[in-house]
Amino acid sequence: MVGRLKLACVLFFFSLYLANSALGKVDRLILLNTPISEFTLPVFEGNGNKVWEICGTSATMVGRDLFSLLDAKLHCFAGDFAGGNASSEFFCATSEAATVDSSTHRASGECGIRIVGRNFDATADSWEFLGDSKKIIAKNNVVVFLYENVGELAR
Amino acid sequence: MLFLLPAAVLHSHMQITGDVAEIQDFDSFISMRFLQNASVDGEDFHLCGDCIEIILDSNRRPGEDAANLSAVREIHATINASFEQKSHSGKADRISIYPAKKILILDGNGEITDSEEGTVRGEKLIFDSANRQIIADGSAKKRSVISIDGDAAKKSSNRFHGPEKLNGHREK
Repeated sequence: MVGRLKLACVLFFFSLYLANSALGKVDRLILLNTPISEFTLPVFEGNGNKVWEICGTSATMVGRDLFSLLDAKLHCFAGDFAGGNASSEFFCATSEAATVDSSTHRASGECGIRIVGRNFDATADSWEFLGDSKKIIAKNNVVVFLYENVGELAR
Repeated sequence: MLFLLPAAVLHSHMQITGDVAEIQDFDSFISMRFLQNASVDGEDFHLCGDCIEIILDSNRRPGEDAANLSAVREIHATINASFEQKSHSGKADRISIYPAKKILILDGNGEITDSEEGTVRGEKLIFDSANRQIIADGSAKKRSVISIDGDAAKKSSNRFHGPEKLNGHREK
């Protein structure tokens, strides 16, 4: 009886050791030491619709889930993109450089940005994109041209 | 008293500036919020405030092509809000513009000045362009409606409908 208990204890602690070893391997960070060319990170909704995607001619991993992009292009979609309806694009933003956090679905940049939407064209010196809420925050020297035919309040 | 409504307040082309802009897509509308030193400039029109929010109606339905369907639904300027036009200017705690209804509302210490006719003040001023009226709403008990029919005004026959107790007074 005592022998069986000892054996059970040994097996228990051995299994714990194996589990810790396995977790350690999973937790290990793998950093690519070469840039990824033509990088694209698409993000989808639960129903399979593409919500937004960010691309770059070159991407470098600078940390866990963190990428540094060159010539970044951010597409944010509104509505149903599943049918390939490109006109559902909410805006397309371009920036010389961006940092993307794939875990928090955020991107930002300090190199200036141009945001072109269906009816607006905006520029700013720096920016931040919150992917989960499809919100882009433009900062410093923000200028937006809004092309809307809204008529007049009075003639 | 002739008060022309702010003509050409909104244009097919507006320039909006601010220190910070938040542009966000919601299901049925798009919000553009400009914070800190925000201003809207159009032809002969200027609107400014510490915060300006523009609501664009996206008019989208599921599966519908969303292109070219947006329109300005509302514009709200808050905190030190003011507007200027050729012959008119106004200020209030909050200025709201509803282009489709052709209504402009100055809410909270509203004041609008016509360079030729004078000034109207009120806690709430409503410019109803469709009916050519300004409604000066001082409080729940004291309300007055000012007709701004152009011909009548030229004849100096200013017509005040409702109680004479116009809380928002006028002055030359």
